[in-house]
Amino acid sequence: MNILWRKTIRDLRAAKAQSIALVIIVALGVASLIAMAGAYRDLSTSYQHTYDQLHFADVSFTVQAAPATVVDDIVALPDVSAVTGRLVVDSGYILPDNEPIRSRLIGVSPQHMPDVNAVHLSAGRFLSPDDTRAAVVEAHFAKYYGLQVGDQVTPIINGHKTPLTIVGIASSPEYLVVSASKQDIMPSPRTFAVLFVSLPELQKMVGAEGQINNLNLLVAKGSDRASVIDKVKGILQPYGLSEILTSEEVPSQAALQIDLDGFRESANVMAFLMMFVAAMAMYAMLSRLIWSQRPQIGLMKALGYSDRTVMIHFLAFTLLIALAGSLLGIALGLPLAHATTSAYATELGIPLVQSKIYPDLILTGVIMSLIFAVLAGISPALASARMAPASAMRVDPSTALANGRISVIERWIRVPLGVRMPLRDVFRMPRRSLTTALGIILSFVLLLVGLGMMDSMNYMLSRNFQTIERWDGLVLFNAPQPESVLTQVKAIAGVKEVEATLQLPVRLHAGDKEENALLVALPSDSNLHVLQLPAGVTPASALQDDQLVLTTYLAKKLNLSPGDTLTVKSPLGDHDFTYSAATDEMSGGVVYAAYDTIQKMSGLPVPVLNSLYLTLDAMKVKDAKQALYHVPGVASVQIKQDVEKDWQGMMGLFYAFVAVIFIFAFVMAFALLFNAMTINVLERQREFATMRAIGTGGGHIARLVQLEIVLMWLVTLIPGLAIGWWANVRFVATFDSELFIFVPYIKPATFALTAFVILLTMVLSAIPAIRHINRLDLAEATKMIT
Amino acid sequence: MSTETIIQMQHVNKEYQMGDVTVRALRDLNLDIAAGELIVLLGPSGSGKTTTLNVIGGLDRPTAGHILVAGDDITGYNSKKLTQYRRQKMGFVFQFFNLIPTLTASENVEFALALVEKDGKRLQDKARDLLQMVGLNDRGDHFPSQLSGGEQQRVAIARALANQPPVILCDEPTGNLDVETGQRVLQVMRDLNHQRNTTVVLVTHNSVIARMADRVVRLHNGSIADISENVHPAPVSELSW
Repeated sequence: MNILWRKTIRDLRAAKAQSIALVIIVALGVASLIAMAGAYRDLSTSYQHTYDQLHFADVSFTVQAAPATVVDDIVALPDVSAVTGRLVVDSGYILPDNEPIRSRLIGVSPQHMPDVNAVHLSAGRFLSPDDTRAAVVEAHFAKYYGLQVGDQVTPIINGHKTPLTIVGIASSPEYLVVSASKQDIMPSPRTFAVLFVSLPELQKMVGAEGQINNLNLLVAKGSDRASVIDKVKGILQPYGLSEILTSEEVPSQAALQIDLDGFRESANVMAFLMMFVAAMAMYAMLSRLIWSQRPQIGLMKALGYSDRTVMIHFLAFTLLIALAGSLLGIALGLPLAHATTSAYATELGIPLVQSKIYPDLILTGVIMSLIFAVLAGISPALASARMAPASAMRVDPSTALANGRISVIERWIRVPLGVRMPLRDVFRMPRRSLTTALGIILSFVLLLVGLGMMDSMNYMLSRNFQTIERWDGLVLFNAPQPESVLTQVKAIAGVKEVEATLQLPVRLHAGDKEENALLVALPSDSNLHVLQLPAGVTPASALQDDQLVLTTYLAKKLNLSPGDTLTVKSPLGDHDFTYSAATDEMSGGVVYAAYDTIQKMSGLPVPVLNSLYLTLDAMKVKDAKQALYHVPGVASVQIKQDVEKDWQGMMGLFYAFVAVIFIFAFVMAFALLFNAMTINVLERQREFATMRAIGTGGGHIARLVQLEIVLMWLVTLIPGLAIGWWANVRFVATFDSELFIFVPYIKPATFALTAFVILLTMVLSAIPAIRHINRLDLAEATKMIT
Repeated sequence: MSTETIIQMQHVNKEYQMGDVTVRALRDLNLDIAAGELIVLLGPSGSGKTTTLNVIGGLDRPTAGHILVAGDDITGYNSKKLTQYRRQKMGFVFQFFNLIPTLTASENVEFALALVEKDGKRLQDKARDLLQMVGLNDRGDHFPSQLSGGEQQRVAIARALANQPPVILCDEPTGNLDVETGQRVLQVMRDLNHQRNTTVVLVTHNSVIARMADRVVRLHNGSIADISENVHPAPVSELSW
């Protein structure tokens, strides 16, 4: 081996602990890239593979009711390759302990597996024309309740408990995340059953012989989806077309996309942050190494080594660390990617998982680490090449002295001697202190981004469930009901307060922009759903006449300002409204109007409603829920407490994700601070050894070092917290979508915890260096020049 | 100079392990040093003079033998006791001065004083007095990097004197200074030896400096080769090298 390489390796070995710390930092960066970006790709391909295999619909149309023969008209369109007509009925379901939950009955032809939105059977078989009262149960629900082929399920159909025998258990591309609707994206296998049943049987049970209300189609390869939608709209318009969902808008897919986007963002941001941290730490280490090897550099040049050779020799340090880090990162990242994919796929119940190794990702990780290594090493390496040999070799004690100077703070206040030295050490080598400070600030950023995600999520949930949604129960009907149903509901024991609302899927048009949304018509004085309006705007004024309140997300998407006009297209026809104000809510795609305005607009002779907000007696919730499911036309009864519980359940995976980010951040922060602190202390070995020699106790020296750490922490505290907050705002914003809006929020306690963890990490990371100082061979160390 | 013995080295041995080789730095060394004596340890490189200084100063421990300082055997001291010992009994002057670069001259002295004196005002007064004693009364506010080599060494001497130790150990104190500056530093040593009756143990390889000592101990290969007494030590002004 070349003698210079041998020297490089031995020098790295001499600074073993620091080299290992650097390798770990680089490895974590590469591992996070490979694991997160790899899992992102695995999940993307798994979803796509599942969609391809099960012919996930390109577009799905919902109508009030249409004859099943309409399918033939649509399949005859030249750009349509397949169509499946279904009857979808939302209803209740009685669990064995008599607790009612929601169910969705999907009537499909029992003749064969549907051409569009097929299912993947994990047990049993698909429906057959000979079956009576049979069902194929969606896998998440079956798994949650341990259902097996041959067991019975009991949905409520037309107000009656209707037992069905399970013939198969299957995954559906529409319910990879079991979301009932766009406004209810919470995966809830506990409270939502999806059952595939025979179409003719269901039609018979609900009295809709020959009728369907849901059509799913595949657009022919190479055809324009938008033009197909226009053509199908023309055919379905007479049947009360109420909703058009493209594949991306299907709630399950939209929720998965949020997950995927989160993965992608996290992979990019975390990998970049970690590489940046690694570069900073490498820069600090190499600078110190070059400083301590001045005489050797002088000698090399005196012997005739060229500037270029000297530069490459020192640059090789960072490159070797990056290479070792990359290898370790690959070794860590590959199984981690596989584990992440498996964990997600299992948790979400993805039926067809594809997990593989991405060589381009590995190459990206290695190249990225090498680029950062060059960026980190180039400046110190150039400095080594530029050293004049004579002065580099001169053993002059004064070269060991950094210029001491009075710190800025001391010009204002008199500080005791014990503080003066640590204080001046902070300002002694501005570049070194700046590098350390930057490292500490990055540690703040890493921790706050991780913890802030959790706080933002918790804040969003608590704001939604405590401040905005003040109801205890939400009842949805299959079809509009007359207001007389209110009397029936109010009479149920346990129901305290009832507010009638009308919810319609609508399409909003403003200029050249269009958005799908849910229109919620609620009483202007509603106190069960509290709009979050700007200061000074009341719900009554914002909803009066033909005015609409939009969520902040929609207003931004449609580029609307208060006073602008927009057109609302709904099953009730097209109407113009004025946008009055924005409400700052968790749901992204909701628009609010006054209940009376929509009733007037409908032109119906009597007012109708299709949903209710209720307050309930806490002691009678279960009984009230059961009774509500027996009210004819009730599709679902949601109890807020249960919804909250479902959110908390889902949070488990989210918390695990945040925990991984936090652990990565903590390990990195520790490794970074360990190096910074070790370098800071070891550079002054002779000073500390002298102090020991003249009788300063080990404890006193430890206090001096720790005081310097506290000062450094104080200097970085405000910028660290501020930049950490800013990074959290940017990071959280990447998760915003039509489904829900993240509000960046960090609890004061989290700021305090982060600050404490950083301080603790700094204090702990200096302990090895302090121990080293206190065990120094004083006789030798007091003779050191540097 | 009194006849009272302040340091007694009894059969002191020191061995280092360097890889597979055992280096015997001190071999059965026996030496008594009287209080108020100025003694020079002279010898070539590797003769054991710095090791002798280090074991007396408690910076290093002998492998065998005993060192008694003012009657106490320091070879049995633990780390904490050794720290106390160095703080109270020994003052050190190093070849490379070893000043703390972030503290001014005055603060460097205060740093040592603060180990026993807590009153801020008294600290400053004492530091000023000590700097005055070494002829640096107007340089107290300067940082080490703003001082010449000789000035730095005199600050180091002032620091060594801070807690009025009975013994000052100097390892090549002029090794890094020019003749004139070196003379000034040696003069300070001589003065404090005479005026304060401080015992000075001075290590050097420069035989000229030995002329100023009360006694000269020549070391060779870890053993005492010769001890000679100067009945009339030479004044520092007569030394030149």
